[in-house]
Amino acid sequence: MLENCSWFLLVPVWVSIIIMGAKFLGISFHKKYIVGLSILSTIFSSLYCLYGLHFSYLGNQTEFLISFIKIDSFNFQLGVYVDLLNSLFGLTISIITFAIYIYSIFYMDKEKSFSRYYSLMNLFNSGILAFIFSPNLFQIFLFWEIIGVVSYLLIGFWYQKNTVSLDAKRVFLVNTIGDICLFAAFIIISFTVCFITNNMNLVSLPFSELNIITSAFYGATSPIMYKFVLLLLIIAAVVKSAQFPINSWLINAMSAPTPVSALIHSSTLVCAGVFLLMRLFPMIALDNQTIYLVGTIGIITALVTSLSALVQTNIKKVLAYSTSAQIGLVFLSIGCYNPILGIIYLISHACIKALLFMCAGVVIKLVDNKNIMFMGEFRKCTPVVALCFIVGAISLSGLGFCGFNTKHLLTEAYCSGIHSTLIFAFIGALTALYIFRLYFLVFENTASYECENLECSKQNSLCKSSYFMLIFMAIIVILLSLVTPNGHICPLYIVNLIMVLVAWYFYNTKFKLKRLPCIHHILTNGFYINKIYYWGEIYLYKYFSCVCLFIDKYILGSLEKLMVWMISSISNREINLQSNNFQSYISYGILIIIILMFVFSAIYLFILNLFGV
Amino acid sequence: MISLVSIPILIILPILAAIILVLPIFRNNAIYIRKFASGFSLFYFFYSILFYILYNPIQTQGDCTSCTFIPSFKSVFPILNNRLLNQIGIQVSFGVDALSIIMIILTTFIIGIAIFSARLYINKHHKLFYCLILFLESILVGIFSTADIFIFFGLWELELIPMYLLISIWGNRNAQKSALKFLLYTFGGSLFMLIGILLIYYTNFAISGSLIADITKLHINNANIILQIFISLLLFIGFAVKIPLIPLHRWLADTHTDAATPVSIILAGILLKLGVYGLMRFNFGLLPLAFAYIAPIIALLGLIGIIFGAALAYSQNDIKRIIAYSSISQMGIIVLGLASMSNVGYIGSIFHIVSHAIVAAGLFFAVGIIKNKFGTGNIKRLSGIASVTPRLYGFTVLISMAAMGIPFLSGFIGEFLSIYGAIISSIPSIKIIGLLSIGVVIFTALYILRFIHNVFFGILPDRFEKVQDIAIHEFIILGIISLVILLLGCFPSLLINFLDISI
Repeated sequence: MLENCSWFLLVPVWVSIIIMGAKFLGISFHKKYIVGLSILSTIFSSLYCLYGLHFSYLGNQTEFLISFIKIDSFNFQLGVYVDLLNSLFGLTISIITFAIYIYSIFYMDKEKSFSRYYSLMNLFNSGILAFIFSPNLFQIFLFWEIIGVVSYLLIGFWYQKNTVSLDAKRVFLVNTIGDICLFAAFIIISFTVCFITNNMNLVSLPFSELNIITSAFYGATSPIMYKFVLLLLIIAAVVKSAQFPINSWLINAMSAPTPVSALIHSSTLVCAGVFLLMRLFPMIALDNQTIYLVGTIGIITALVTSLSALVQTNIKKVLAYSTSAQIGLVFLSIGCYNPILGIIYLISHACIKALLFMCAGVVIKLVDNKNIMFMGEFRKCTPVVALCFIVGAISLSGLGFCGFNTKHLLTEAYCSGIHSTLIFAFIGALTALYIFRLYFLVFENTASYECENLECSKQNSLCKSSYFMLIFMAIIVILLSLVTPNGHICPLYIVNLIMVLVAWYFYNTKFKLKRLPCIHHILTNGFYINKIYYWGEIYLYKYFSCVCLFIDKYILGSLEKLMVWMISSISNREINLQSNNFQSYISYGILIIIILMFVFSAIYLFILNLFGV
Repeated sequence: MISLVSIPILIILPILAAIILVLPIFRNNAIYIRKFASGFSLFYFFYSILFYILYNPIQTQGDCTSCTFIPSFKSVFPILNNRLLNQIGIQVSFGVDALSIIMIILTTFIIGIAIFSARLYINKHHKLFYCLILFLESILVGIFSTADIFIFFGLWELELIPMYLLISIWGNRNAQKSALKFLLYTFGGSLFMLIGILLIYYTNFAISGSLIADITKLHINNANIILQIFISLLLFIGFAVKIPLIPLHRWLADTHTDAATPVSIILAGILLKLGVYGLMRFNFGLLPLAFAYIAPIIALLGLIGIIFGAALAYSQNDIKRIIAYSSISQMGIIVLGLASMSNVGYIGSIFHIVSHAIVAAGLFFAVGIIKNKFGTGNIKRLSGIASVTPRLYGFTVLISMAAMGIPFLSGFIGEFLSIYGAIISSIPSIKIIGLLSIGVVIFTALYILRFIHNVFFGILPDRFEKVQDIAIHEFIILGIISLVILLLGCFPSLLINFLDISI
């Protein structure tokens, strides 16, 4: 049954091809058909995930494979692998995608490239589903790149703006580092395991045989090599999940339309890196130092990005830094040898962040500006959005709903000593502070505009549909708190609550905080990480290519000129010879023939000698 | 059936078509000439597809020694036995194996694309142009199906004549100079190749005592290994000019820039692949023992080519030059896969030959359209043209993604298999080169993204606002190219199984 239904996962690809093909051939669809088809695809995928959940609830797992590339005994396979982890993930993603498809009708309403948007979104959806249901590391690698490319095209959706396309390019280039690391890790593991076990079925590294692969690889390589390969995997995950020190691309990615950010750069694409680590957890867990490294990266990211989120004035950048920070906490939970907690945290965070981004999208659309200093009083204009945002904010800061439970679980897992408790309390306090700063500045603060002048105040039906989706996501966030294991109130909770009050005190009015000039600058620029990569690309590579051009133009070029000069000077001399009288011509000719005869007979003798004839 | 579908007919057909074109029935009517040539190329493509369908390899045990796969002609049949030529062992014999069939189909496909795309770029001497292209097609099919080393060399040289004329007559102002450059470089290379081929011939004579020039019957594996390496290097220089590998690449960019678009398509699509074909047939197939010694050098040159070509492509401002230099980079991957001496790498190499031919043809075609429509090829002067030409943008992005090696597009399979093959190679130095080449993917991404970013994205200048999107026939050509790219990328077994079964 599950196998026969596997084509459900392919529906988004077909929808994408239909929409794009129709656009290319000049057939114009009505918008409602485009949206209808897209929603249909999410229904298919969520049905499949539900069935997979039902199947794998008791720990069952199954896989269906087809051969993709088959040479001799090397058989690279693609397919579907269903277990509890990916069914849960797939379901979350399908639900979020469903909400965002409906939400986008409002956001993209006046957009000329409506069908391009939906086509790319469907392509992304299929890519991430195939990524999550990967039966082996080979397929993970393929769709890792696919989602990167589609994300590039979606970030550059408004390519008419120069900065947007520059951002898209930079995001793609930074992500290429991760692609290369994953590719290298895959190839090294694959060929080592194949040659050790002599079992060519393992060439695409199926997850169902992960134990055999891990033990074979662990046994075959030296500890340093093992660490190196794990490091490659971690770099790949760090890049994709926007962790320190490669977190800056997520800020660039905020040039995308807000629904795209809500789907891709908060809840799906950035989870891919963590997903990879969770899948390969048995392999990573063998090495203590690597696991420790994962946890450390997570905690550093959470600290750095939370601090940066505190001073941003762009609403999307606050949320983007917050995404990095929260994924950092998921890294931390993996670092605590607790991947299951990581899954729960990741899923709840995906829903919360999608909700927050959707609220931010409505606000941005209303004032047509991303700067929070120009916002305010939205609680009166759009009470529904404010309510939904506050649900998201409360969950994110761990004060209630699903965030409360997950945060508590993480506290229990991580806070063993005084240092870790202090650090964790600090991160939690920062989280509460920046998200409620955002809330008070956007929804409560006094504003310079009148609510009636805003575009959406007429409450048209499109606007309502997006409000419905906000409520839908908020309900899901609330419902998730019933499913996750219950937590209880602890001292850290009080700290977070105090931070909300602090945020209320400072940001509710136009109260200007005195800025610390130097630190503020560093934080706003995200510790200048972005600039470093920019220099890397622009200066290092440009100089490198200039050096190559120099070698090509002058060194090889002058060699070429030398050859031409030599040949032409010889032929000029030849002309002089021929213009002389007949006798010298003949004598030179005979001389040349004799020389040639000597040369050829020497070569011939040389050849004969070689054979010993 | 056999008599209708055979190599001699395949070789003679384009010449017959060229003769019909020369006949006075067309009277210099450009439209009729073009329609005839297009119709013929379409028919010819489907005719060559028949070989793919009907090909039934006779499973024979060859004398495999160290390699897993030695390409050899399975069905060679002499078509012309001249007594005089026979006495010195030259037999005009032609035959095909899986590699030849793939190269022949590729030739007919790419030349078909070139003929279909010629409409906008060829505005003088129509008759001569199509005759030369058909003549070239016949020669190329001959090169890919001949089993005789001297015939191979003769056709290799003969192909320069139509190519020189095609570049110089229909190119831009500097075309004659760069055509001469192309000619001189190739001649210089083939000088070494001629010595190599003669040495093969004499060595075989010294060993077996019979004068044979048939590639399937030559046995020089027993010869002194130093001599074999020497021959292999000589041949390699000749082929390296054509590929082109790094120190010998300087003819490529100028020739591409100055040649007309259809000629560029042929040049990048097939002529560069002749060198790799030669490497496969001679260095790898005929002298496998010596190949093991020179393989690390070839692999290293391939790696240098990938990096150097990509860096040069990044530093160019002319879009046609970017694509031309990207060819050098992509050919590096092909050579790396070939040098790996493993079955995976070998098949990856052949796959990338096909993929790059199609991708390069598509990119040159797209670039030609851009140059034609917007009147400039300088990326500093182009900007934001995706707004007025969304279809061209869509196709070009797809094709350049294939060049970048994005999964499920044809470029990925070849790249992946070549690198994988290099890493599982039995020679340690090639293993290391293969590992290094993984990191090179980012270089490709850099120049491709620079191209897309500067040309398609950004603000559209006012002077471009009235440019129309691509015409129907351009749409169809780009559509076919994109479909083939997707088809090969999603179902690589179409090609791989064909190669794998016939090994």
